[in-house]
This record gives sequence, structure tokens and C-alpha cells, in this order.
Amino acid sequence: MKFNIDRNDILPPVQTVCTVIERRQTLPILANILIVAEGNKITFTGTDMEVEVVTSIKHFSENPGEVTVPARKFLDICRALPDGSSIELSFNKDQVLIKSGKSRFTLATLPATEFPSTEALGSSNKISISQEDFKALLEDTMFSMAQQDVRYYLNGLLLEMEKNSLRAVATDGHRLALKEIKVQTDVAETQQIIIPRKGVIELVRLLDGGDEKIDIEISENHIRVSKGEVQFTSKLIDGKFPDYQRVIPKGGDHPIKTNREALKQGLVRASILSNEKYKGIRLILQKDLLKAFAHNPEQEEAEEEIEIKYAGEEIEIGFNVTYLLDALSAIKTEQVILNIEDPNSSCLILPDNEIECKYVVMPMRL
Amino acid sequence: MAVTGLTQRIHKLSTALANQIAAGEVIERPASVVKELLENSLDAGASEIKLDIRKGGRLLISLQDNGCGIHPEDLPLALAQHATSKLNTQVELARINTLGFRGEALSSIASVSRLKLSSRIANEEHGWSINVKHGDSQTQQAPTAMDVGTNVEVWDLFFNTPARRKFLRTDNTEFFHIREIVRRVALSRYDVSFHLKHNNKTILQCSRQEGGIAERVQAIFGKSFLSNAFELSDERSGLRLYGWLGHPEIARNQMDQQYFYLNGRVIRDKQVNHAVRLATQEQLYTGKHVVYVLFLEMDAGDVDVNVHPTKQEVRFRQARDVHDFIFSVLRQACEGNTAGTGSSAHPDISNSQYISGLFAGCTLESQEKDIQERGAQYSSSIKPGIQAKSQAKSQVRDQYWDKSSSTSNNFLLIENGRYLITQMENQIFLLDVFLCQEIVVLSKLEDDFAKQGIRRRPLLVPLTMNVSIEEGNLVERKESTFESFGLKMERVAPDSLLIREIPLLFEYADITKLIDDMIQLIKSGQSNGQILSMMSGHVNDAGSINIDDSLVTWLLTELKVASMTATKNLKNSAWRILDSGMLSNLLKRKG
Repeated sequence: MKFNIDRNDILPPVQTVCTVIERRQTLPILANILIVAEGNKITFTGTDMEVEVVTSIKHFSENPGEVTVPARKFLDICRALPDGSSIELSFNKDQVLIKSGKSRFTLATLPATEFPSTEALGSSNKISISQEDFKALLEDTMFSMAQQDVRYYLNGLLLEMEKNSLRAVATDGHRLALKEIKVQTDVAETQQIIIPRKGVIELVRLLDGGDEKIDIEISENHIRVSKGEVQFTSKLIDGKFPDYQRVIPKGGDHPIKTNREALKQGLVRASILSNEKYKGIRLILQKDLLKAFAHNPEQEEAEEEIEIKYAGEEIEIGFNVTYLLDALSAIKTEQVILNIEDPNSSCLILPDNEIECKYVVMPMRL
Repeated sequence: MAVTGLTQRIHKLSTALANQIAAGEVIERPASVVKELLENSLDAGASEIKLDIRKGGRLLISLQDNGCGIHPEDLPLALAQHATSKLNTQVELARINTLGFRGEALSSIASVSRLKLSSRIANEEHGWSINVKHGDSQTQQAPTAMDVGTNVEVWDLFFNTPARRKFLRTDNTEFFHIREIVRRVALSRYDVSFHLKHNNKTILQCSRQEGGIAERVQAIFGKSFLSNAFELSDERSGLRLYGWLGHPEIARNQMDQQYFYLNGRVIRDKQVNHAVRLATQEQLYTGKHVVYVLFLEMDAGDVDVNVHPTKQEVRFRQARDVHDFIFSVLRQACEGNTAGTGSSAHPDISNSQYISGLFAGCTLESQEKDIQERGAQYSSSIKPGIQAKSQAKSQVRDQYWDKSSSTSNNFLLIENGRYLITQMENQIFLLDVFLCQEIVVLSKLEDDFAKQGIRRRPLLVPLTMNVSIEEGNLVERKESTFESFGLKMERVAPDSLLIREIPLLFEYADITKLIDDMIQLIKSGQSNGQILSMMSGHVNDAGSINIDDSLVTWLLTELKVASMTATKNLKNSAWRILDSGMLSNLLKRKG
């Protein structure tokens, strides 16, 4: 295999596929990326066995062939070579030779045949959606995913497709985030999949804010997202996600309405002195007034008063302040609506517009 | 030199006294009676055994079976010493196929209790019963109405041996041992139905399992066991080993769930224990004991069961071979099975699990590496690691607390956050993060517990947990105890719990594991202190490790408080001050 290429052409695809390479691998070959040169196309692949990213560029190669090279070192070399320089890459015996100007590098390789490849996707449902929307859908819910929970199906994000909508739900058993967007899908009936945590994080990293369309393909065991030349594939979690509808409370009689930013800033300040492991904060709801209290083991205390619109009874309730802040950050509207029924029931946080996001946070007994 | 005083003459012991002495070996406690009676019933080919226990067996042990019965003429003989129907010649002694054979159980029991034995064989119209009091063989046989089979009633055990009686524990403890015996026997014979009652309450009931041994194992261990265990089965040169080996995740703090059967007989053998330990130790934390139900079958001639009256000890003719065979089968199960056969079943190994099926090509091409890799994934999934979370974590969690703005601690984490080096008041401290967390959490728990009971947090998504029926009973009975430890549970089915509220501090801990541990501790009557200390250990469960700035700040502040109460020993292993003496000692050039 041999080809000449401009440093600026090869760097972006290599960077893209390197993102999924884990720092520590379970198999040596997973530290490598696969480079396949054929005719007028060069394809790069990186994988950690759970998430795979493939991308290609149009480029002519003198000799077709395939090889795997150490990802990190190859990326560092490409990046360190001067802007605009030309790189010659050739594969001989079991080494790859990289030449550029007066620089020469030889890299160890592993046989390309040993590189793990994803099995073909079976029958799949397809959705076309704008990058921006899909990214926001994931970003506004992913913080509620569990992490190394024994209920393995919580360590991921539920994606639920209906004929005219796409819904993302995440919960770690203590709080829940739900967001829904309108989109045309070709599913006949509701379909649910769970994308593993790592897949969600990598996917968000890959997507950017433009309104360029991406294609999502969902088969029984995989989700594949195609964005231009980049193809992202993640294995799905095989499990039954909890019935999230049951844990979302109905809005109460006395919703609290307040300025989102003011509430958030008040809680952030109070949380400075909430140094407990469980980040406890005590809220007291009075007529049109919310008081937030936090204290730490050194007996230091914080007290915040926040103006709200509230007509219900006085309630005292404890929360993990992180959960409240996560939800308040994901909401984008100026005003926010909180439904708190009593100190033992969950709190529902909504944006002040058409309901497309719902955040549920469980209180704790402080 | 003349012997002064009274010279005792030698004489033969009376039969009754000899029997009582023999009983000392065989009949140690009510549970031993149950064991002997159950074995007799099984040897008689019973398919249905009912046991009725009163006051932990102290007042009454009654067993009813539908076995072949005892011939009326043999009834008095059944109670005589060294009388048995199971053994005829010396040749047979070398190839014992029945559970009993020594011919001393019933006579021993009869010598220390008031025994009533009734039996009817198939061809008789009615049964005959015989009453024995204090080993007196001059007893009258009386006709009695009954089904085919044998009934044994053992009243007032140890009524004539006050010494033994004094050593009996509470009724509950004695019954606990009886139940354990019944469980053991029930595990080995899925074709027999067992019904155990204590003070007229049904405690254990297993009907004949059509589905075979797996179903019985499930009935005894609870539903979740099979999905958390490696199933194994192997045969080599006349030895066959099959059964289940629990995943390291369900390993226990005590050795209470280890069942090993040799040709259907429960044994406790050093060789076997060693082989199991050796095969599983790499996957286990020290102090943890793997759960297993294993059945070894081999030629009866290659093993000597006539070592001890209770027959728990055995001698293998080819001890080394048996040891190596068990070891290799179990080792294979641990290594080979982790991602392969068991994969659909274990939810705990979340990461490795759904990967394995995906890249099918790789498995074939580099099988050896694959096995190594599985091993690696396996061990990383059970030892709490934080590798995976480091990058993901910081993105989502820390966005509100800018590192520079919080109380800036300078600290350095080593070994994936297991240890931490920091400077306080001009001294350098080395901390064991896990242990420090445990100390701090323990002192918080103790504090809470003494004041108002451990504070709880309701769950948004309640957890379900499968338990055995007994465990369910316990949880129901001790509801307020569990609540005082911060757990609110509901029994939604005899063998299923719904967990509604968990202790405040254990947000991301492995709650089902915690509850399981707690059930065991409560069952064995451990003190509150021990329970709290077990709980504090769960703060380091894989899901809850999140070592960031605020946690370290919290830990350091709390440690100052907690260190007042922690013992010196604990303090020494939790943290050290690295002074120049210590450092130079550590780095001293050797030789």
C-alpha cells in the first residue's frame, strides 16, 4: 500500500476516528486504526468494540491495500507535521513508513485482517433529522443517565420512535429527563432502543450544531448515524427500560413559576456550602417566596431567597442540588415551572412553553 | 507399691449407656436427628417427606415419609444397635451406595429421646407402631392406622442427657440448623417433595420438580441465582462434576451457601474446598466466599465414606486427581464462560456483555487473545474501577463548580483514585480513599442511627429484587429493623421485593447487594454495629465512586471529625503522614 497525501487532508479523518479509541485497550489491536486504500478512496476506522467510527476521503492511491497503525502515535505525527506539508505513507512487510520533507517515521503495525469489524446491520428503520436537533435531544437528557448501575439498562439513553416523534429518556433511578421532538420517521409502531452511555457521549462529540441533515438507521442490535462521510455505529443495550410514563407526575394545583436564571444562580450560590456527599439543599416554599438553605460539616450555612409565583401551602423539601441544576441548565426558556406536591413526592420541572421537555427529580429526607 | 483406695473393676457397659455414648457422636443437636431421619427416608425410596418440628426440635421432631416401610417383625430390630437393612457383606462396605449404613442412627436417637416408630409396608393392611423410652427394647408393638411408609416421632430430645441439653441454643438457632439440613438434602434430591413445618408454620415447601435440578436450585436459592451463576458440567475419567458456580458479584461474606455433593451425599471436604478456593480466588476479594452448588459423581468404590459417624468427611482414593479435576472444571467455567455461555444471563457485567456478540469475526481469529480479554473485562467489572468514567464524568457533573472557585485542595490521585496524596497544615498525607470514605460514612451512619434512624431517599424508579421465600419472610417480619437502617421495602410476591426508599448516603451503591448482605447479617443475629459497618463498605460500590474536588473537600473535613472515634488500627491503614523519616525509609537503597 502506498499513497501521497496533504497533511491537512488526512488530519481531520484521523482525528475523528481517534476519538473512540480508549486509553486502555482490552485487545492490542484496539489501540490501532484501520486504514484501507482502494482506488479513489481512503477509509479510516477506529473502534472500542462497542462504538465504531468509520470515515473516508476521496483520494487516489498508487497501490491499494490495508493496514492498521497505532492510533495515538499516528495522530500525533500527522498533527505535528507542518501545516500544508505532504505526507507519503507506504506499507512494507510489517512496518509503515511515513515520509514528509526531511522527516521519516516507521511505525509498527498489526495485521488488518485481525481488526474487528461490525457485522452488517439487519433490517432497519431510518430517520432523517437535522444534526442540531438530534444533538440537542441527546444533550438535554444525557446527564440523567446512570453510570455503572447494576440495572445495566439504565447506563444508557432510551430512544423511542413513533410515527411523528422521537423521544429521548434517561434516568439513574433518582431523576429523569425526557425530551421529545417532532420528526417524520418510517416506523410503523413505537420502537424503543437503549444506546449505551459511551455511545451517547461519543455521538454528541461527533455532532455539531449545523442544521445539516444526518441519517439515523436503527436495527435490532445497532444504531448507525451517518453524517456526510462519517459513519458512527454503536451497539445497543439489550434490556427493558423502566416504564418512564409511570414516574412522571402530573402537574399539581399550585405550580411555581419563576425566572430560570435567577433560580439557578441562587441555587449555585447556596450549593457552595452544600458540601455533603449527597449535595443536599433544603427548600422552603412560602407564598411567592422560595428559601434555599445549605450547610456543611463545618457548620457554615448559606441562605438564599428567590422570588417566585406560588399560591400553595408552605412546604419544606430536600433535594440533591446537582439534579435541580442539571434540569435548570437543560431548560432554555426564560421562565421555568416547578411542580412540588409534598416533601415525599417527585418534583416536575418544565420549561415555560409547549411541553417538549420534562425533568423529574426525587426529593430526599434531609 | 500397693495401690491404696478403691480399685475400680472393669465391666461391660450396659447397652443403654453404650448407645448414649454413641449418640454423643452422631446426635449432636436436633439437626443431626433430622439428618439421620431424612437419610433413612431417602434410602427407603420415599418421594414425599413431611417434617414437623416443634420448639426447634427440642419438643418434637416428627417425620413422615412414603418409603418402603419396615417389616413388622423388624421393628424392634430397627432400634437395636448395629442393625441395618442397607449393608450385608464386607464387600458392600467398600461400595456404599446408600446414605446410611452404620446401623446406629435410630438406636442412638432412641437412647436420648422418647421415640415412637410406626411403619407399614405395602402388603400389610395396617401399620405397626412401637414406643421406646430410654433405650428400653422391651416394648410392645401395637397396630396402627397409617399409609404405607414410616413415621418417626422424636419427643423430648436429650431429656436424659442434661449436659447436652444445656448446650442447645435458642429454638430459633436450632431450627436454623434443621432448616439448613433440609435445604441441603432438598437440593440433592429434586425428585422428592419436602415439606418443613416449625411450630405449625410452613417454612419450606418444595414439590417434586419436574424441571429437574435447576428448578430445585431456583426454589431454594431464589430466582436470581441461576442467572447470576455459571452452569457447568464436565466429565473425565470416571468423574463427573456438574452444578452452578455463583458469579463473583454474588460472593458472600460467609461460607453459608456452599453445597458440595458427592454421589448425592453432602460433604465438607478440605480437598474440595481447596480446589474451589484455588479456582476462584483470583476473582474474589479476600474474605469473600463464592456461592456454589456442585455435584460430583464417581465410582462408589473410589471413595471411603466410612470416616466419621456423621459422614461429612470422606476420603478419596485418588485425592489428587479429584482435586485437580474440580479445579480445572471450575477454572474453565470462570474464564471461558464469562462472556460466552452466560452472557445473556448476567446483567452485572454490563460492558463486556453486549460487546461480545457484536464483533463475531474477531472471536474466531484470535481466540486466545479473546479469552485474555474476557478475563480482563471480567476482573475489571468486579473490582470497582473508575477508568471508564474519568472522561465522561467531568463533562456532565462538574459544569457548575469551576475547579478554581471551589475551596482549592491540592491533591493527587493515584492508582485510579484508590489513593490520594494531599497537603494539610504543612504535612503530607497519604490516604486510602475507599477506606476513608468508609470511616466517614460509618461515623455518619452511627450518628444518624443513634438519633432518628438512618435517613432515607425515596427512589424515582423503585427497584425490584428477587429473594428466597425465607428471606422474604424475614424482610416482612423485620420491617421496622430494615426501616431503621434506611430501607423501605414492600413484598410484592413471596419471592420478590420492591425497594422504595434507600439510605440517603447510598445514592449509587449496589442496593440489592447491600440488602442481600443485610438480610444475612440480620438473619445470623449480628449487632447493629456490624450491620452499619457492612453498609459503609457499600459506599465504594462501582457506581458510586466519583472522586472530584467537592468529594475530597468533604472527605478531608469529615475525616477530622471521624478520626476522633476511629480506632488507631483503622486510622493507621486509612491514612499516614508522610514525614521525612517515612519517606526515606520507603525509598531507602536496599543492600
